[in-house]
Amino acid sequence: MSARLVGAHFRARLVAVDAVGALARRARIVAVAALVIGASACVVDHPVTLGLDTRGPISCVDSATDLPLVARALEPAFIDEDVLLVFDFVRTSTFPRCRPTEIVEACASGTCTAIPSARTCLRVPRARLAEIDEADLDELRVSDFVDGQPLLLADAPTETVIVRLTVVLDGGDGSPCDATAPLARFEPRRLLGCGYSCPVALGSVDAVDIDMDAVVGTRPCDENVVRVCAGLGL
Amino acid sequence: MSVRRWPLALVALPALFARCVLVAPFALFALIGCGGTHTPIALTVVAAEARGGAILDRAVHTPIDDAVRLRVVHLPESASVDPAAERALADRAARLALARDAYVTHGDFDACLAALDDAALVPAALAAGDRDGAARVLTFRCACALARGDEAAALDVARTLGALGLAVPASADDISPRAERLLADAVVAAHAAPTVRVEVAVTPAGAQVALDGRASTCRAPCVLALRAGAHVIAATADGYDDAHTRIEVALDQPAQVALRLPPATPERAARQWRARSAAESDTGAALNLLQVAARDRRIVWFDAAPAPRGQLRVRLALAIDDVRPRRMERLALAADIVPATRAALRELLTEAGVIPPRPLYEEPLFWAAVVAAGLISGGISAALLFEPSVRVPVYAGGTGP
Repeated sequence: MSARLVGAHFRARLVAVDAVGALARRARIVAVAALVIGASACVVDHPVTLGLDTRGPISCVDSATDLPLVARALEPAFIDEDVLLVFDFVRTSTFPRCRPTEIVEACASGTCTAIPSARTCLRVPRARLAEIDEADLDELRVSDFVDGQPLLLADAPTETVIVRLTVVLDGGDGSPCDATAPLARFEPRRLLGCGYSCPVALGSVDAVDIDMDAVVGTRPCDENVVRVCAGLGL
Repeated sequence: MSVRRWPLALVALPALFARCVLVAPFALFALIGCGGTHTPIALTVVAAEARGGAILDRAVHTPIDDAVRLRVVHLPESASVDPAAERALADRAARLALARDAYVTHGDFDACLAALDDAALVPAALAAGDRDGAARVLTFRCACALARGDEAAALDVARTLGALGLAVPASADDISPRAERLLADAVVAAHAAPTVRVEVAVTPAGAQVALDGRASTCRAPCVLALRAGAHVIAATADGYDDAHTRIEVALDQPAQVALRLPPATPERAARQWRARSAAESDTGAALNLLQVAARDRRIVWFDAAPAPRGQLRVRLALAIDDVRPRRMERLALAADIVPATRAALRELLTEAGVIPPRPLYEEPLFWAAVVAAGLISGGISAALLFEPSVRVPVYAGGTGP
């Protein structure tokens, strides 16, 4: 090989090495940028809509007065209290079927836990209750208290949960929606209704139905049924 | 029916463990190349010149590899001249000056003949290729013998000059016209004389044969046509010392001459190597000479010659015993000449199998490949296993049947 050829060969190698180095630097920059973009874009929203009132109105009755439990909101003792729609996400370590008895049994064994950080509330102002005709109390639905499709929770747990809705008067010792207080059992006298969903992983469904006052299935729904429902995971 | 599987596990697990324990070290050694020990091979590195020697000294200052031990040898710069030949030439010139002075200035013909009284004088001059010196010796012998009155001896000398095909030298002006005529007649008579067939054989075959001090006449074995009289046949060959012989050729008597050249001394081999041109300094024959000169059959020849743009051309040639030599050539900047020489030397020795290849883990490309493979496999794994985190906003539907 002549000196000129050898020289050209070496120069070509040097240029090639420089080109490889530049390419490597560029590749590193692109990789880092892709990682940053990928990391920032790897959170996806999976919205879930809670279907309310899919089975019917808030129908449980007070066995003592034979009036719908929601009539308690109109009693003089609670006349100043707002109504709260309290949504709880009850973690189930087992995966019970959707039969009311199985859910109650599963939770009775202590495997259900309401997630404190996931509790969210919708407050129904007293003025809204004043519009309700007493004659229509047995036809009252949760959706009557909800306008539009408000956001309940920005990021719900994706594990298997039961979504419970408790309708309760906001009074007594501490508000159930006080974020600083630990979760406690609802005051039985202020319970107006309760419903729950089947066990579900919210990350894998688009909609969840909450059946009101159906814990015991075909039995007449009274305040005991609501109390059991409202006590799940608490 | 249940089967108890623990005995199988009891055998299989230790077997698996033993296999890992036995195989892993071999795999590791194969990877890092430390599966055995090597007896160091001694090599002599010969530099073409002093500058190359200085570069070499720095390049092999620290061992290149455990498998090789390098010794740098510097050939002496003055090795191109044979001191014995120089001495003989000076001696011949002194004798001729003495004879001429005795003949021309003092007319002392005995002293003239005494100065040239050495039977080996002419054969030595012819063996060294000094035909003019031989002719002058014979001319003065003839002139002095004639002046002394010994005509027969003068005629004999003149015939010898003619048989050797020598011309009467220009310095014949110093001798008498009679002697000059005698010599001229002998030369003319020799040209007209018939030739005799002489077979020349030399060991080693292929040696260059020179007749009567002429440049290379033929390559042995060969046949020469010689006129009757005394002749000098010399032979030379790379790797051997020169040799010559004096023969007396008689009319109609074909003759055979056999010469055996002795192996060259290291000094002689070095002179023969230096007599070559730069382009031929790393041929197989040249490396054989270097092997003799370096007193080692395992040598590396090194040269660093200037190249364009301030670079140096590093040339290396490896000769081990009689195996076909390996060569390598690299261009390097003068500032990088030492590491470049070292790298080229290592590459040459590796290619020739003198030293084992560099372990895989010492190659930068190996680690680049490992990193690249890790990145690729990591990327593929991440792509396959990656699940974006899901945010689940929950909305109240608010509608019923």
